[in-house]
Amino acid sequence: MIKCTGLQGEFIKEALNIEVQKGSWAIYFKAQDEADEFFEMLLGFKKPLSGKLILMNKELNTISKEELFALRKRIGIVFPGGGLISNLRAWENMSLPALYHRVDSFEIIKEKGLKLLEELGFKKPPLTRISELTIFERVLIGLGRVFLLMPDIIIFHRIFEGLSGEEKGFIYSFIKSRKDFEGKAMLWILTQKEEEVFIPAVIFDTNEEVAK
Amino acid sequence: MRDPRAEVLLRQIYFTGLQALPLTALSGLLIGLIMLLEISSIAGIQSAGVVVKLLLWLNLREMGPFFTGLIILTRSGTAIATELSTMKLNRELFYLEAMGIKIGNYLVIPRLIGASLSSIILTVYFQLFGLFGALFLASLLSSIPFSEYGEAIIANFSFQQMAVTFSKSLLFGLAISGISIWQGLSVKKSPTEIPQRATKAVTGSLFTLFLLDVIINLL
Repeated sequence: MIKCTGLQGEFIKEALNIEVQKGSWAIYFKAQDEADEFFEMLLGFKKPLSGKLILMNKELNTISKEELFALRKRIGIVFPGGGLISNLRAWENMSLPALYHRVDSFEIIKEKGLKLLEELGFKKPPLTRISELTIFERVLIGLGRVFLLMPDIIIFHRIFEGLSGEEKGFIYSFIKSRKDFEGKAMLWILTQKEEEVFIPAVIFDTNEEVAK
Repeated sequence: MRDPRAEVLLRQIYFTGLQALPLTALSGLLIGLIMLLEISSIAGIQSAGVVVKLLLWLNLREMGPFFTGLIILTRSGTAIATELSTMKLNRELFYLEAMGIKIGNYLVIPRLIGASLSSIILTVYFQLFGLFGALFLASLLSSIPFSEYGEAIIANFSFQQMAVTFSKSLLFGLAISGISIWQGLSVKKSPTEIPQRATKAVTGSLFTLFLLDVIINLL
């Protein structure tokens, strides 16, 4: 699903070689700049200084903008702090990509979304303003957004930052318990070493080149 | 929310068009009264034909589209510029694009269409309140019945004037929203740029309104 060979950038100095297939995978970076750069390269926002990045059998350097947008539709991302849109309310944020990409009918998305909010333990009204949500609640909405989209690849980009141990544990167990994520490729981008305990996955340590 | 683009469009129409209705109606009424007092001091209040002809001419061709443009500019132009620049600085545009949502489709086009449609609707409101408010006052001040003014309106009304008013209001709406969107999306790194961009949106749009007004009048 994702293959990097000899990938280097402004911040990623050591050539990065990873291959992510179906299942849960994680990549650990020592610095946030490296993690962000890798994330931006993965989505085609930034070009690598050297090396190749192949996403769903397409080499990112060679595809058009239209093809890139088509690929992004198939990727679900949970951003740090949820990555929510400030002028939309919680439910509107959660359903935005699914409705925009017409993943399902409005009725089905609504039904699935409301059920998801309940399962996520989201206690506030669905139309709560973003400013009234805690970081944890924002991440939950970001997570719900990805579940509604049902993508081929799911990227969790530094999502544990600012969360307590209990909250991190809840998020990981929730994802693990979901049957609808089975058979998908999940990539966790981490910057805090201790977060590895939550991700029993194949870990690429960019500093030690160790896989566990 | 069914189609998110339709939702953005409806919100724009609600904010720019509907919420501005009372202000537009009141402004139209007051400008109409001012125009009537000025016209009657030159032409005299008893000459219904002249009063109506001048009112129609000024209201439909100039005051309606221009003052509505000013209302949209001060309310929505600044709002669009600050909203988009804040979204950009908060990396929300990045989040949208990362999710495969095109900024043009989702944020730009609905705002352009919403502001332009609202401009046309508000201009009509402004003109109706301006014209009928002024004529109602005229019939109170003079001995001429309101129906006589009504007949004068029918006699002096032309579709050419309506075409001018529609094209002006459409172009003004497009210009204000386009410039404000452009300024909002041009913010780079610092929050201090937000008020600067809002100011540039206002001054740029104002200059463009004057320029477009001159060009259309010359055509």
